[in-house]
Amino acid sequence: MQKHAFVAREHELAELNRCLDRTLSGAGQVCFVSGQAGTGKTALVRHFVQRAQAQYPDVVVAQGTCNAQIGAGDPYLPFREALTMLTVEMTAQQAAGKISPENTNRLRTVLVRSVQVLVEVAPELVGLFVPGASLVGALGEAVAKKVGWMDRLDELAEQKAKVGAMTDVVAEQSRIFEQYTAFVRQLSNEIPLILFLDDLQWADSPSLNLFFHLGRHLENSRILLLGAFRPDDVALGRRGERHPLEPVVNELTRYHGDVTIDLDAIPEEASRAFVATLLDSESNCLDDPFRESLYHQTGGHALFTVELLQTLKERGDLVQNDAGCWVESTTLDWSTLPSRVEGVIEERIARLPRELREMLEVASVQGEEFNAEVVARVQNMAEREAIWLLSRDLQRRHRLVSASGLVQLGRVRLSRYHFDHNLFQHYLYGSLAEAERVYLHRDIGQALEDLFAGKTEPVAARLAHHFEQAGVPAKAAAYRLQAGNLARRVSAHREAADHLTRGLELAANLESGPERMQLELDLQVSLGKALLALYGYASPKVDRAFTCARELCRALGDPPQLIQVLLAQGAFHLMRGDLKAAQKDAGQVLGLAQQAGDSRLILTSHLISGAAALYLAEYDEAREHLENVVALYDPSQHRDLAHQQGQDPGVQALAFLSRIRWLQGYPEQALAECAKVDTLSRELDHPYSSTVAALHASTLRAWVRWWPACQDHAQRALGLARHGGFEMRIANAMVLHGIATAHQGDTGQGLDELTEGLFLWEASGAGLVAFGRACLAEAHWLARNQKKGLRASNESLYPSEEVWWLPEQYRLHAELLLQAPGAESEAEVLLRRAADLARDQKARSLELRALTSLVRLQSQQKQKPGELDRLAACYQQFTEGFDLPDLRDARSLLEELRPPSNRPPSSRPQSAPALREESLVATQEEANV
Amino acid sequence: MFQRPTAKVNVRQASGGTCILDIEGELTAFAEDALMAAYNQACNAGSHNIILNFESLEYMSSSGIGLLVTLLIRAQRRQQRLMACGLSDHYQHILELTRLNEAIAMYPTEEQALGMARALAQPVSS
Repeated sequence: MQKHAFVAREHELAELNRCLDRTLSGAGQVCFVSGQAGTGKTALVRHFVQRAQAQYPDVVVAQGTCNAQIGAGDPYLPFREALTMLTVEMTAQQAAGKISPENTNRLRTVLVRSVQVLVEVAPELVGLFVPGASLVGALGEAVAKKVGWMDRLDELAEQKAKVGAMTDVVAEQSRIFEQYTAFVRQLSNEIPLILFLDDLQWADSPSLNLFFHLGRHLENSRILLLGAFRPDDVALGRRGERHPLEPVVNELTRYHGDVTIDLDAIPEEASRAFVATLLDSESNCLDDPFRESLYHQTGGHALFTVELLQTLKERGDLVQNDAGCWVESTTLDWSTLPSRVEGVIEERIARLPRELREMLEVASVQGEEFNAEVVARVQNMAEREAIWLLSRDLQRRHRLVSASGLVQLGRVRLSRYHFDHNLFQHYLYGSLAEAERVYLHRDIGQALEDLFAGKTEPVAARLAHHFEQAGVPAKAAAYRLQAGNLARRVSAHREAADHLTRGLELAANLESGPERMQLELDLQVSLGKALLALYGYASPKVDRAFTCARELCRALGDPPQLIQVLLAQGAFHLMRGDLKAAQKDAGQVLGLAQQAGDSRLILTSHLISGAAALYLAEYDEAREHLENVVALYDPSQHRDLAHQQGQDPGVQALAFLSRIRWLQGYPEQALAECAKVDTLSRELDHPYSSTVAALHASTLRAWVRWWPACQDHAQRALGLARHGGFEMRIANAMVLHGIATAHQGDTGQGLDELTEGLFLWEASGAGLVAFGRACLAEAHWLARNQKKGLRASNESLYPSEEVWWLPEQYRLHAELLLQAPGAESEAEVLLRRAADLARDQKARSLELRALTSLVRLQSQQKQKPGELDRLAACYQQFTEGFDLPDLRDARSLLEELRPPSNRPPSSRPQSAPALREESLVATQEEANV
Repeated sequence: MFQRPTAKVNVRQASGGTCILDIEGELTAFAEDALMAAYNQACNAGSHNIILNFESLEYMSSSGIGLLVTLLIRAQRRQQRLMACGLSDHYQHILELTRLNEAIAMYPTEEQALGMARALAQPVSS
């Protein structure tokens, strides 16, 4: 029974082969292998891969394994490993532990091409998923120069190294997904690819999301995506919620059909066949009662059966006769044998010499995967000796570990090994006394710190774990901060928030003083940014983080972080509708930013001030700030602000300016500005900004009353927002879609959408709800639900600082009152108030609407319309937009009520083309979304 | 000119640093003063746990949800815990839809909410 003997499982292999055949014909497949620990999931996949490679000369395998200790805290770990296999050269020995020497040879053959594809289609992954310097080193300068794209790779490596130093540069998750998918898809055009992700029960959420994304984009590719997991671990859930792998498996099953090979559901007959085949893989004279006893003892559990057989041989219960056949010895007593797999493991470990056992104990504290150099440092032995003992004794002789190759972490190269089964690691770690574990975790932490000599980012999550277990909270908290910042850089915001929250808990145990406060401040600022990405600016969680940070800033005497805290608080106040507070915060930032000469902060503070002024109906001030943003904004310099702050200031400022143009009576210019917003957002290729642009387009169509276009843009925004998980923007889009639907006749559906959208919006903590509440009142007016409409309208009129939409809110309330007789006087007072307020705000478009309603009411009451001249004067101030519904309404009323000699001309030059409601033609890209 | 919906919020003190706010009538924007006054009263009493009792709630608008978020922000700043009880199925659904149930724990009855508040107030036995 040699090492890596693989027997039986023919049915499961046949299933995998079917998947491979379909993959090779260009129909990419996804497949899961599930089973409890020790059922042989990894062994099955390895054997399948070896067979596949024997049959097909060009199939290449890339593998990544999730980590039980820090898996959920190390974003994209399995995908990073797989990418490293494809793009960094490994020696045969290095990769043997993962797949096979044959696969290593094939990886080497495609290395240059795969790095080239990476640079071409997934440049953002360079530095984030695989170090640029490793790529350059792996290729060798000569090769890269020859193929002519070394410069590009060098440039990327250098750029990424610089970016790496800026913790605030964040790569969008959607871009990571798209680029990873594009990379493997393009590579699979040239070589069929098996991507194997093992131990998915320990995967971080971003990895599972990427697995799902990839699983949905396998059409017309030669990618076989394989995942292995333990269903019992998944059933336990995570953090008290459903395990994130569960919906991924369910959805991919719904999409692709049954995609799981369940090794726990293997019939008894097949399990018995497995035991028999395993025994017969070597010459033996073992009879049926022996086979029955072995099956009875192990239940056909793969690892248990293999290990028990090994134990029987080592104990001398099985011996070889003169002919070389294995036979039972007279000492065999089944009742003395372990009844569980853990018992067999215990016996195996107990037979090891002390030195080897101690090495393995150190290794077990590192985890299922471990580094020889760390073991050597902790055991105070030469690295060479440690590698020799691991490879010679523990790998070849005792078959407990395997080499996984060299791993490049930052500038450090480490020899990686893994336990042949994680139950070995689990047993060894469990057998250590608590005090031993504490000291070993501390020693391992120190060894890693020494090895990485100040450049600890690549192992920050591991260091945090070791120092936390070692009871060294100061270091653990500092490494949690580093791991959190790293996770934010790859948009793994939930994982970042977990690291940073834990860091704060650890910091709370430290001695009070400036050092602790500084650490807490850094943790709170980073946590605030992670939560902001997750929950939006107005979330109570975000507020809590930045409020704590503000207090810490005060206590520390206004350190440099103050400016970021103020900015975040300004944005928070803005979104909550605390507009004057937002202006105050932004003003403070502007002063500090001007002192520091920081154009990025100047730009952002102008944006907040401009937005606050808009909602306060201070349009001249708003325009001044927003025009400053537009003047300062340079896409080449400020593009990454979109990633840092979640939204692009250029897109946002243009959208606000466009709104002001409409409010002030320039609807055509507003529509032209809106087109600029759209163009810029397309150039940026930034999903959140595209969503903002689509929402703005929809809002503007609602204001000019082009309802089908409003609905189309809202639908597009909804798709983008859902795709990107932008919850507040989903709410926005639902409100706009709802009002457009109501205006097109389906008031019931429109009201449902509006109500849900408003609930979601207000639950996000956001204020700025005047327009949304007015839409709800308007939809009830359309449905002739006067009572409900007045209730909604009452609420929309509840006093707040947000007064920009107030004229329209008064007008709508008046229109609702007029749905029942007897309220004409009250309505007239409200309409007059609406018109006066709009005039005072210089909101000509709203003034025209209010005056049109007022004059219509007066004329219906058979009285002389007292405001007729005022309506005419207001109309005459317009210089554009005469084909739009509001101006047409006003004009027809004036034509009806004024003598022909005094009728208003249409100011549109006869030669000018009429402004027509657009028909939206979705691009292919949008249709895909 | 406007018919203002009415809301009344009574404050009851319970043991273990817990206050119960009984919300009656319509929870809309117009309930802001009543709700915040009741909350301030609970704060003055030094409460760590605030239970919002919705048994007599007649209607809650989206602004009512907005008020709950404002309350949550204030409570979190003071490190207080917010709980809810007596919500109808409809409003339970709204809290779930808006994921406010992640921050405001919901209990079917006041007794159950009080039980949890007491359990949380007890020191963890070693």
